[in-house]
Amino acid sequence: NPPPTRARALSLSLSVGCSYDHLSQTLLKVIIERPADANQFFEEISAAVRTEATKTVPPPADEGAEEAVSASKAAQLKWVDTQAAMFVESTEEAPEVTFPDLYREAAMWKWAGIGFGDDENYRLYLALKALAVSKETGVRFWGKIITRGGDYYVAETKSNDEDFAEIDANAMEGAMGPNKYTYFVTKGTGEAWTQLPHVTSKQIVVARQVKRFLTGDLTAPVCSYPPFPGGTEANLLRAQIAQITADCVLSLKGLVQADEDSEEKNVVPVEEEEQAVDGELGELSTWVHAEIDIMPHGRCQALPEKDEDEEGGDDEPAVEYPDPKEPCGEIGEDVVEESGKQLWILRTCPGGAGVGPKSAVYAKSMKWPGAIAVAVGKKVTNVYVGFGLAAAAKPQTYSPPMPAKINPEWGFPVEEEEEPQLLTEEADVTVAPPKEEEEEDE
Amino acid sequence: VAHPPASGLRVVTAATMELQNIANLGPSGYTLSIEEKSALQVSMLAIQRKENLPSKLMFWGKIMGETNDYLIAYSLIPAYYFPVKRFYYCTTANMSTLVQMPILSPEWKELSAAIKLPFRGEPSALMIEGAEEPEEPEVAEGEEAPPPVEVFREQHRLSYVVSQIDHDVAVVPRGAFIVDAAHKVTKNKFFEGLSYPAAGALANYYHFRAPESARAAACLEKPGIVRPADFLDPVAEDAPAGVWSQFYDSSSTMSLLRSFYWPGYFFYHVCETGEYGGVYIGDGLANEDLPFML
Repeated sequence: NPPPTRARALSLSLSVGCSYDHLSQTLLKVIIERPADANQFFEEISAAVRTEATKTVPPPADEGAEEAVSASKAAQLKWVDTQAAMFVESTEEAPEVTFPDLYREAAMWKWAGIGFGDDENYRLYLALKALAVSKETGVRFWGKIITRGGDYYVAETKSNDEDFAEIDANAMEGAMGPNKYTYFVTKGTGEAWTQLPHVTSKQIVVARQVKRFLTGDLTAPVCSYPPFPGGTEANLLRAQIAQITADCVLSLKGLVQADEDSEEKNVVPVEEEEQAVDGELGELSTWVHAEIDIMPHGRCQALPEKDEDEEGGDDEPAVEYPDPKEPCGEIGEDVVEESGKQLWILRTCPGGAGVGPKSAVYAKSMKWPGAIAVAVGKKVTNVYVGFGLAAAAKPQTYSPPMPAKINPEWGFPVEEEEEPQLLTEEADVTVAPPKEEEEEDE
Repeated sequence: VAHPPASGLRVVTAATMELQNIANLGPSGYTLSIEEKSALQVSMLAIQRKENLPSKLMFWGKIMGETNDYLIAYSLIPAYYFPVKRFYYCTTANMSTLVQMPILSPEWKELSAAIKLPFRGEPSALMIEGAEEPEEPEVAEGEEAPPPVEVFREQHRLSYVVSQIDHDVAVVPRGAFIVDAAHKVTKNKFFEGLSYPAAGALANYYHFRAPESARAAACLEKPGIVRPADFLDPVAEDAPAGVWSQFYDSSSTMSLLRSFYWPGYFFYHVCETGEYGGVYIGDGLANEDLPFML
């Protein structure tokens, strides 16, 4: 036969051979494995057989597949390395620092429906311990902030007073104000902790007027109106954390008290021997705020009094700032102004049939959804898992503040005694046209 | 002679949000307490058997209320054209019995859509201001009591909100559901999962609902084989851009999706396996300030 016909016959036999082989493989698979509804899924079984046939062929030519394996492999191995490093016992002498025993606190959070999974909890505990040891300071787990690009874990440490020695006390309050704590964030356990900058009072004021999701990149600019002073997302995140801490960190009456020794408002723990919870856990009056409230102008304490000798003391008119709220206020007094609705809700878990003397009680904030405080006996733990935003004041929707009024145009300076000089037209001056010499008619 | 293929048929065992897989919700930060999980196990099995449901009851999510929270489960009922979800709910005050959600008239759907306040947590709470409980009519001896008059209650609003949330954010990965030989949409038993880079592309996730875009609906109606990507609405086409965020968890083994229009919806998919699931844990209020926040 001439070559075209033979080639055609060969290709025909190959194609018939392929489909015969494929059908027989598919039927063999059905016979051996006996899936429940083989007829309904026959095409899928056939596709599965086909993909398995191609899998046996090594794919060096398929660059896409190789990249696929290496991208996930690289990312997972990187994670494994960072986590494994946390499990290595340190040979250096550990400084005496406090770090939370997260796995016990996690059991308390679970009653409130918050949890990261047992495995992740333990790794988080290791990460917090590593932070405490490296910074040589006590660490508390503050919570988790959800962003558009991954979530931040936030850890809280006490600020040093020395950091604020050279900073203008009017712009940024130091360790007696919102900067009582310094915060560290990380995107995942085992990764480096980034310190968040300290917060100024202006940033808190603007952050209250702005409503934005965090993008997950600390260096991203904050596009908002009013313009955010300080600029980056790290500042916005810090301002939100400051507000949530001031509003939502709770303790029980009898465990903390207002500090009567210092002039400034402060909350201090009661001596351990004298600690006794004053009241039932299930009642709103037993729960008190453990942090100082931030006032509307962004400060916790009153402004420092200006020296009269200071230059420029008369330029700004004296603004009346409200007095700070009393520390250790009961949470029952937090209500929505218009409706009188409570901003805190208490639940007992287990409740109903399972209630007992060791039941945990948790307080849930309606103002900052995601902020909870759980108490069992004398132990209280606070945590936040959420977007870092205050609850919308439903049913109104958010609207940014109106732009400022336009300045009036510059006009003639007006002196008070004289009447204002108005621009008037001069009286018309009639000028007679030159008389033409009349030509005498001749 | 053909030899049998190397690996067997892999039937997907862990799929959309069975109660046992609650550990996979770790990256979301939310979970169920031991009390809730234990009670739900009992009530979900009870409903599945008593109502002879064709498939296992799945956990849908939790809507927080002031007095109590609602726990919601659903079952997928196969139906021609597109399977239907039947929802059941219970409150945290009484977790041992699940109740089917009521069906709404269009009038009550409009009323529900207009309510923007948080849930109270009492399913029988009257929702219209000034409404009173209907009086019980007097029943003469020997006669049956007439069926109770339906009044607009919070359970109706709950039913509406749950169906809205499910319509807007229920997500499945590409290939998890297919159109079978009988031209019915069914779960793909041989779903092997998305590869790692494919799981990172938002284009590979689809809304699990009867298709609304003209192209997808037409695909479903025409005869012949329908590819898995064609008959569902893609999530990537949701407006505004940025309402969905996709990222990998820290171990890079799971791909996670979050919605910012219904904050609280969380979807996970373990790459290269058939495991995926989505839950909504939130207050049941849509985020209508979204355009300002992106």
